[in-house]
Amino acid sequence: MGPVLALALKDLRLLGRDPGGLFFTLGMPLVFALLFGFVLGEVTKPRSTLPVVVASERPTAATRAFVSRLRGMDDLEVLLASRETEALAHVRTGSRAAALLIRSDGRGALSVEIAHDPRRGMESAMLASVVARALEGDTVAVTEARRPTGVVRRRAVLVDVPGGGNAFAVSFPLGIVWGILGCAATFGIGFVAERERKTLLRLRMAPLSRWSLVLGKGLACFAAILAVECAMLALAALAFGVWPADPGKLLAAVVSIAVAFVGVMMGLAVAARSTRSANAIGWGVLTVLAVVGGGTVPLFVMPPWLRTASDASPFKWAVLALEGGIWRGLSWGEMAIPCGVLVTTGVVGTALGVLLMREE
Amino acid sequence: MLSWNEVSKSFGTRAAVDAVTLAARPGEILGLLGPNGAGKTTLMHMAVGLIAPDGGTVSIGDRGSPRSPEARKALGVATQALSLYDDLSGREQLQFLASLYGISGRRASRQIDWALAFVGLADRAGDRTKTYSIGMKRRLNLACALVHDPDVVLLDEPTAGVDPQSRERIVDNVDALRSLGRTVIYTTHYLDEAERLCDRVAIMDGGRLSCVGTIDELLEAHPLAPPSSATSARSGSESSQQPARGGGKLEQVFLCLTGRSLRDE
Ligand SMILES: Nc1ncnc2c1ncn2[C@@H]1O[C@H](COP(=O)(O)OP(=O)(O)O)[C@@H](O)[C@H]1O
Ligand SMILES: [Mg+2]
Repeated sequence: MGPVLALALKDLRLLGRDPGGLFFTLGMPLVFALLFGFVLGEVTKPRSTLPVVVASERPTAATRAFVSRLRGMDDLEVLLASRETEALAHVRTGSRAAALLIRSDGRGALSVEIAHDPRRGMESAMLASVVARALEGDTVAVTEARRPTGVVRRRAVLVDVPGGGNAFAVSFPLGIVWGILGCAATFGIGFVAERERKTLLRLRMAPLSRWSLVLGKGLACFAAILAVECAMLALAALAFGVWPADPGKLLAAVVSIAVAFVGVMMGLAVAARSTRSANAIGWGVLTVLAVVGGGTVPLFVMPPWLRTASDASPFKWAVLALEGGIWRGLSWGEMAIPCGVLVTTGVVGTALGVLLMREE
Repeated sequence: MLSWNEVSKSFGTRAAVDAVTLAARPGEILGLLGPNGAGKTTLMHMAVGLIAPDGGTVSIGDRGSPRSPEARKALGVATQALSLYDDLSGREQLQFLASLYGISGRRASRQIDWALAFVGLADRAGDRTKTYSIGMKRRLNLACALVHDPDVVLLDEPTAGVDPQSRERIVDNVDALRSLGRTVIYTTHYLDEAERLCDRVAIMDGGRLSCVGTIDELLEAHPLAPPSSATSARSGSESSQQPARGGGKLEQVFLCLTGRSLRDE
């Protein structure tokens, strides 16, 4: 058995005996993927009925007719309130997305004020168009800043890809990459711990080149990341029906992601002086990388400068590569960009590990 | 067998090792003595390639510099800091090390069994290291130095902090290494161990080599301080702080050369 393999097996054996580490490397990805799956499942659901509250303090024949039309609309889930203050309270406390305050001028014309939760501005824009539809034919004024200005035909780009339209196809890549971050952090912290506990001295005295020592460490991390990826993808397919559109490209993604995060692990190991700082850097910096890379908030809602910054996060490229193999239907040329960035990250990180290992 | 030639190493402005020239002869036990901070560990680390000297050279017989992995195969090291994996058993620890030295199969099991029996850990070999006492860990650390059957064995305070039984066992083990023809570099604060084991001793202080020779040679070169003062020094209140203890003639030479001021690192 070669020394590199011996080093890697030793690390994996130690990982197997550390319940905490094992949980972070194997359990966390699952938690993340399921969590994201259910959250995104809600967000991307095509129906999305909007919970609103409707108040009409001085009902007339016209307002009554309008309210019953609103209640008949598929897009809305209507709650009636007798007073406007009561309706507004529902919005303030977050139980309804918006309040529709309906008033009549006594001559048959209606005005509708949409008071929406500031956090749900996007939905209120949609609401304005729904209300406009309900009002068609009536003489009304809709007071809402973002009134739709034209007919937009919406269509999802990737509907005919297997797994497309399945929220888990979107959530699993995110969950997997989150899990891999945990895996890289665990190994990076283990590497620092080995230095702190002086067992690294013994390794450096052994007849190994620095490259084999670093490669042995990297190999263990690589194997663990591959295991996480494969287990998660198998689960996604078998339990959630997320079948990759292109297994070949997915394989390329899986391998280059493992290479990249081995480099991230090495970078972490050389940056940290103690296990305490490794922990801080591991969970702090990696979380920032994840957030910047679109791991929590989708990239498209980010301000432009942050979107540019996200190019520096391996998280973004990892998610893109996985999606490329699962449902984006990327060509090999398009896959080359994320995969190239990922492999480069891995190589640079590992080289850094070797160079900085020279002197402690 | 192992030689340092005009070797120096500084950490920042502090010279940890200052122009030391020293050579271990084949088959001898060379004691390396000196107060805390004298530079013994630094000297050892340069011998095993962990630290590159700022000046001078180290060579392992005709194998050349310890910076080359191949040359390091001839060295076995028990570090001052215990370098053991808590979650591996004693046997797994040795198996892992053997494979790093390219030893596998029957030869590996034979040498692992030998090393475990040699240090008296055969019956606890399957237990995780974290359940071992300090004495057992020190013995396992010694076995780690021996498992690949090296020609030169460097032991950095191999008896630090252990119970008398383990100490006796380790000292016996080192004595046995001499009869096996190994060259041993032995660092200790226990001068009685050095007197009992070492063919020659080298005394260091403040990074410099103060003297080298057999104990008789050292006694000759450094006429003893009056016996009365030596005796009172040993029973004085400083004696628990001072590294030197338990030695007879050697202790007097040691204190004569290195003085009595405390070395608080
Ligand atoms: N990695 C290091 N960084 C800074 N100073 C060090 C380092 N290692 C040793 N020293 C210093 O070098 C001197 C010699 O240390 P050492 O070789 O450990 O002495 P000894 O083993 O004889 O007690 C001490 O003053 C120590 O503080
Ligand atoms: Mg020391």
